Amino acid sequence: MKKSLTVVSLLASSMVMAAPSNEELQAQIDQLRAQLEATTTAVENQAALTSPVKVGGYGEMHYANSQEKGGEDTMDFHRFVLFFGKEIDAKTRFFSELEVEHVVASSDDGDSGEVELEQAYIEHDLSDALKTKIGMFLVPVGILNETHEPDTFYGVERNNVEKNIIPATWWEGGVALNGRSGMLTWDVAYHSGLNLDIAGGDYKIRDGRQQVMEAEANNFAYTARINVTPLAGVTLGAAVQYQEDVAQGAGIDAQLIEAHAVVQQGAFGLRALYAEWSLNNKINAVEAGADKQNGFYIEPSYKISDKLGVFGRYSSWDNLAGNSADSALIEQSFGANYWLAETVVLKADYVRTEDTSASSDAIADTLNLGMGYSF
Amino acid sequence: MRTLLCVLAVLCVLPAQAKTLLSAQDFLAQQHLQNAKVETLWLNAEQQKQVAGILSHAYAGIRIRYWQEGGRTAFILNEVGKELPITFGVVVQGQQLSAVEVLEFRESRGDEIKSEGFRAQFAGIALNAEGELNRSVDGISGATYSVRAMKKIVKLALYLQQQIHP
Repeated sequence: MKKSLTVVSLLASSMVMAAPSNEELQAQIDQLRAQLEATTTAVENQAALTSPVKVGGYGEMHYANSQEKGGEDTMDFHRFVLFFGKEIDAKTRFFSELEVEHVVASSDDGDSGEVELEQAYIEHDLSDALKTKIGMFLVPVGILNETHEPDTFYGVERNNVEKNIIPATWWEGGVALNGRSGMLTWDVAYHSGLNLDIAGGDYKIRDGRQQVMEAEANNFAYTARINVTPLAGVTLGAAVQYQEDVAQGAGIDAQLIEAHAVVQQGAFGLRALYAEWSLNNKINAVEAGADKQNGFYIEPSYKISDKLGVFGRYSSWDNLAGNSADSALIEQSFGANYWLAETVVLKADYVRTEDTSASSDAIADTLNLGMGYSF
Repeated sequence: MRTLLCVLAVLCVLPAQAKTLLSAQDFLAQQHLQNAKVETLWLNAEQQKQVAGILSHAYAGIRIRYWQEGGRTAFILNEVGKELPITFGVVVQGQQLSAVEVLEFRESRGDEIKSEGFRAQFAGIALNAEGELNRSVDGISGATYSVRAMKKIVKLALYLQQQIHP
């Protein structure tokens, strides 16, 4: 009995001696907390390091159903685009956009696809409010040229005024500065120019895009743009551009002026744009009236809910506006966007196009359906 | 060609300052929270699910730090606009947004969201019963992705505040 009591007593005393004090327990907790903090930080840092290059993209598929007798219907996965961006250091970044248009790009005559590098430039901060771009970038003009992901605009296809007059999508190689001051942002750019094949009969501005593809660069172009946001949801912008020679050696200089407004007030939206090119009248030797090329559109819209919006658009553009003959194309369209998710959209629109030229004076109706996404 | 070389030369001699950022410390001082206590919210499984729903992607971490003083909570959170992350500073008072600032903007376009006029739309905004912002925010042309990122971050901060102060 005495021996048992001694054993119990020794055991109890050893347990008392082994029990840590409150301070020791607190020290152990602090040590564990520090270890947990360090482990979590290491895991989070590792997660950040595993994705140093940011990848994004967008795409859109279109179905066009001609409403004309004998008209041709088409289904086209129009664009599949991937972005690659990298923050090189705290003030230097790389951006790029690689695009496949019309699915298949091959040497077969029947394939109309293209693989295009649309953007690849370095952006460098000169200060908090001033940065520069060097490389190949989208020309700062118009509404859609720089921001054209399908979930950001109404209509299955991009509007024809910006396509045929500005001409979107339009990229050039060169240098640009971008600044911001309060409600005002501005851009100036010095970049490669257009090159119309006038010997081959080209006169439409859109045909002059060289896409920085071994582009002739004997003559450059200058672009300036300002955007003002006087109140939330309202953006007013204007751009001017001077081309030293749109035929790279024929002495045909040209100026572009463009103005636009974008309004989003609650459910109501409005986009309006006017653009006009004035070319040296030597271009009239290629096609009479080509020295003026202009167009405008107005597009009111209304969001019925967060997911559903409707729009109407009236557009007019003319690549031979310098003569007195009717040569404008007029387009009236209406339709709807349904956002399946924030950046996934289903679209439908009905488009009536009227060619006012005396030679055709034709009206064509088309029903379009589309799917678009970005991520 | 001569003009291009001149432009490049001018750019090279321009003072290439580091971007003047609003640091986390400056942001907290601006919001009079420089002495606020730093706390950590460890996201449980349900919170991670809710946060992923707000951001439309999983949150890149398992904890969120916040600064708290006198019923006001500050968060510093990142979200990608189009390609690169934008760093936001957000302050929530009670269950309403008190302030949102852009601390670092790395995207190529869309920095109009820094303007005070645009950010003022968020003052006092809260979550409704469905967990959505209780009023609409008018966007900015050409800054669609940056606007979306700011709306998500504001929504996230309001949700986190509900978790910290139910």
